[in-house]
Amino acid sequence: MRIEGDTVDAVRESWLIEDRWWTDRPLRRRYWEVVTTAGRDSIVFRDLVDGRWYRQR
Amino acid sequence: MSSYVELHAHSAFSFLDGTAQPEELVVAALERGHTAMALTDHDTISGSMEFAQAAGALGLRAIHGAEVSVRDERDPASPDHVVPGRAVLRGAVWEPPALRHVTLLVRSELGWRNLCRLLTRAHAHTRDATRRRAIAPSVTLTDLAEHAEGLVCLTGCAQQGLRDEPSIRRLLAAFGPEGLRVELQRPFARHDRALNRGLEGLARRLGVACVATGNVHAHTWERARLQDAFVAIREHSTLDASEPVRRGNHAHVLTTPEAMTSRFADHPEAVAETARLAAELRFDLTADLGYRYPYADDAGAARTLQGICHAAFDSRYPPGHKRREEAVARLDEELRLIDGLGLSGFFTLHHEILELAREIAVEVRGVGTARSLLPPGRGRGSSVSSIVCYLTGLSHIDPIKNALFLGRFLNEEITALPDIDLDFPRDIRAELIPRIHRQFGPDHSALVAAFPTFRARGAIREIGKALGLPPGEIERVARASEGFAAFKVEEDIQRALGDGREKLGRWEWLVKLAEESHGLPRHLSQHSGGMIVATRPLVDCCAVVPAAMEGRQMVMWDKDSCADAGFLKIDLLGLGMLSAAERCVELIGKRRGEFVDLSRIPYDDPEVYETIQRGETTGVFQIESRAQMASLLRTKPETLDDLTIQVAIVRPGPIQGGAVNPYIARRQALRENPDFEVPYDHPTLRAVLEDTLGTIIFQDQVIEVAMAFAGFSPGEAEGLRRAMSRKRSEAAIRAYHERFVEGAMRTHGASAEVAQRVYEMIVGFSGFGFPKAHGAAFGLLAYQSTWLRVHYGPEFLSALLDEQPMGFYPPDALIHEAQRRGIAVVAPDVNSSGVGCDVTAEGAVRVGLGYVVGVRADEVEALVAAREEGGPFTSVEDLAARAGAGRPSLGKLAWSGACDALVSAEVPLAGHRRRAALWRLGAAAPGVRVRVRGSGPGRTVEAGVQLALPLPLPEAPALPALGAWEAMIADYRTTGVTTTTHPVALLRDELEAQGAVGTAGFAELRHGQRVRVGGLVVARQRPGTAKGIVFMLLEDEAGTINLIVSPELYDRERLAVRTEPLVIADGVFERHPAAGGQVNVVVKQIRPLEAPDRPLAAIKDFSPLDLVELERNMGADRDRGAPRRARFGGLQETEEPAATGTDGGDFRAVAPPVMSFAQGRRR
Repeated sequence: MRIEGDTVDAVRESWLIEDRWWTDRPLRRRYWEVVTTAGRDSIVFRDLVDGRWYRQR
Repeated sequence: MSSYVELHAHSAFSFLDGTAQPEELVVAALERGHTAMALTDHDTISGSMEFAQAAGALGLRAIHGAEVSVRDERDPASPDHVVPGRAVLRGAVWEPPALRHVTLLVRSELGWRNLCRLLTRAHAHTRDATRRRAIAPSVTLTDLAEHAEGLVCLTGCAQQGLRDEPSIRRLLAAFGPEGLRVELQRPFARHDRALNRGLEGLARRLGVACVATGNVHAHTWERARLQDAFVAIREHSTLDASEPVRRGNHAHVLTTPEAMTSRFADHPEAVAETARLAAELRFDLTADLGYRYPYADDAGAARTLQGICHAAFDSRYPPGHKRREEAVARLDEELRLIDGLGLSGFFTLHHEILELAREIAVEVRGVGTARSLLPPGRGRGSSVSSIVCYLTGLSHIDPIKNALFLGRFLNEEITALPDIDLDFPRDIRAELIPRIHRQFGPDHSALVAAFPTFRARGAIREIGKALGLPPGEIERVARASEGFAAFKVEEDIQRALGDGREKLGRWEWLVKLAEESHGLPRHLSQHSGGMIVATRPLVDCCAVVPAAMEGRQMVMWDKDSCADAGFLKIDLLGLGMLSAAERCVELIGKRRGEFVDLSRIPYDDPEVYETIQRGETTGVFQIESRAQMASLLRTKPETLDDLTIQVAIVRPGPIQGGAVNPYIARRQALRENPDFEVPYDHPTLRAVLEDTLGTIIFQDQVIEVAMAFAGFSPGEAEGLRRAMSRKRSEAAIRAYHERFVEGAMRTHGASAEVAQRVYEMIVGFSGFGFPKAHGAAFGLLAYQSTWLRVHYGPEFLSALLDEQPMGFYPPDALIHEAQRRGIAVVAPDVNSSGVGCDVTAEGAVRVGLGYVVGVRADEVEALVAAREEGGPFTSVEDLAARAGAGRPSLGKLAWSGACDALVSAEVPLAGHRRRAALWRLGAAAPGVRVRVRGSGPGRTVEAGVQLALPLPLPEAPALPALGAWEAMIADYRTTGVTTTTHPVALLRDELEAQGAVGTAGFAELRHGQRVRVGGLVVARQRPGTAKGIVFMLLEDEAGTINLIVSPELYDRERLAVRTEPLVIADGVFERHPAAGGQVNVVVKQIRPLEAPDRPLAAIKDFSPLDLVELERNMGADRDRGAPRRARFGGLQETEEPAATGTDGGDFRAVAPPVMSFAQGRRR
């Protein structure tokens, strides 16, 4: 698995957000905090509503 | 045993932190493949018995425990040192920030006892008398250490569990490595994995095993959403604003063992530990908890009971008494039955409690008073059918004379303890409860808990607020709601708001969430009167918590859980009418010097029965409601036996069973033709249904019919009755049905058709009904109260007014009805009224000063004491100086008209007096809060209230007079009643202009004529038995009007029907000859009664605006030397607005609360 060219080395944390279900824009996201082989720490999430992947930072 | 066992789950009994009923958890757990599961609610075991019972029935192994809050050890008094600001709210309870959680699981019986003791300790300080607000329950680590035996301790949840090594080491020392587990959870929050890695390391260092748990808060996704809403409710916040304290996802829904195993893939040992640990937790809550009631095992109890009965026997049935022989036989039979069932101790205990009540009655009533002649309490319910109860004083009804059937109360086959319910006057009951705590030991007695549940109205308000919906609209929806089932909130929104809002956004969520919340327990409360006493400390069986009222405590279980645990519940009920009857007897003694012994009054008084037959029973016990009055006109009771039937007749059982109309028709037929033959479906029914003319009106007749007609044994017949009244499984009822029909055909050769018909009569009765014994007890009190009403009208009214709330009618309606039959009622007056109501020498009822709303009881008492000591008040100034009441209270007294007499000399016109009194009061007792300069610039501190000085006052300026309408509003606002002009009389011109007829004009109307009527709503009802029809009772200045509103019209005009205090209706006038003169108006159109030209516009209401006007007047007076508002050097003052109405005379805001849709009285 790769993030912007970097291969994911390890998963530090993973968590889930299911919230704001009572609004027009419900939130359902699965987050991963990963470390890449290049030593970069990044947070990515998959939006479970639209099914797409995003990178937080 | 599956690989993963859930050891941490919350039910809705965690109150706003869990959304599943215990039974729902059990069902869901089994569906998802669990074989065992623990219930660990927050600081409570309230759901444990339900959980155990459901699990036992469905085949899940229940493990018991609780998640217990632990407060900081270094701060042992922390409940008293709540840090404001940082405190977290749970429900309406302040929770100190330092609370941590541990999960306790019960290993053995000893462990259960320790858990109960710990929870009792956790709650002991939650109602600290010195602090007004409830405090969150908690224990210290020391408490935990002292109760460690038999318990397994998990270190607690991911959010609030114990983390620090010193604390965990202390737990380890107390629980040992076999009794402690480090708890790992995976809520899918951001730092889970790091936390679990850390905890695992800590566990390794300490040599303690880890265990995985799921922290379940819901059993379905829908409920997980409700859980989010509950968090918002708990935090007094909204869903939008409570995000930081929410879980953030729905990982707390109960899932499968497999899913949990993979969730903890990093910690397989912790998963395996769940099953290993669960296997050790073998405590079974459904086994004997060791509860025994006092005398339960007393070998001499049978002889004691026999002695008590024989000692009383001769006074009840003296030699030569015509029923003596029958009574001897009945007593022998009952004593043998009771002994055989091992229940002698049960009766001895009840007798002892009644004797205690007798002692208390002497103290409370005083010696030699009129009421001291009355028994201390009396039985209700089926126990009244027992001669043992009669002789031990537990009942006041002779079961032989009344031919009462015992089988419903006692039979050879009963398996549960029988019920003895006792009614007491309120003051005696209030004293009895703490005395029982004292007599049996504070550890050995407690009240039974109750759990108010989410219903439509509460759900709409609370969840609506959490969703952030507009408060005004929420309120409209809540008021339009039917109030009971929260399944139809969609319709409520439709009705209140229209425009398809129920399908829109958050309103749609309200519909869904309200439905999910229906029936979930909301908080812990107290049962109306159930008391548990035990031979061993109750805390060994169930945790005990302080009740809201000081000196009372209760177990954490409701009546069903108590019954499942085998607890004996004694019902000690407060009955308002008993209090009122005692008060009335006392008043009669004081005023007329007559000592009335209600047990010796004539029971064949024609005047009493004539009154009852005319339906003039307002204020009387049980037979006063709208439906009862209508029925009285047709049944025309002539004896106490008739009244026994009468109080039982307007109940769901007889109504749905189709007994009411045949009974009434046969009564009428018999009245017209004494030779009328009452038809019976089968000859065997004659003996058991003769009294009720071939219909089933009493609960016990179901049993008697099953025995006489179908050959059932008493136990079998009682089983049939129970199966039907509880709507148990269809299968059980079907089995009884077959046995019934077969039995009837076999024993009496009845045809299948007749057997079926009789069975249907019984099935119809499945709703609630009275046992005959209960009817006899209540019928007697109905007669006694009518007798008081007929012969001592003013005293009776005065007693009723002082015992409110009670009965069907609000005090205002009681007063108007009394006035219509010539009883004078006068308004409160500071110089002649007492604290309570009383009767003047001329026989008028004078409303007490206690009726003035917002005046504290101690202020009223001080005022009356000052008057008795120093003579009547001579002026407003004198009142202000001597009464000892604060300015706001005096203002309310003045506005109620209670000070009118003090200004009558100088203000000749009555309409001007209230304002004049208020004005003088403003000048005499300005109620000015004096503030002095404090430290720092611009800072002031309160220095107290300026005292009233008996200074001569200037004359009041010319203030506008109070119109009649405005005075009436002021009456209602200050006292809830008006004694002068009826509000409808004030609207009579308006009503006439609109062509409405008053009750005074009814005599001239014909049956079937179109009519328009208007009046004040006194009651609204929609009985479940009436197919959606709404009955409204209106009152005008001359009488009452029954309105019948069809379901269609109700649907159309729901707000007018439900909420308007004054209505005008068009409809058809009905006076059926068979209805005995009863008048109904079948409504076609209904709308609020508005009075556009009432004197409202001409005379302004007294309001802050008037204060401005007053000040202007005073300003004008200034030049003439009137006092100015003082302004001293370092002192400033602030004026409190006068305590009077400000809402422009809107009657809606002050209308007396009335009986409205079975929700008790509402405005």
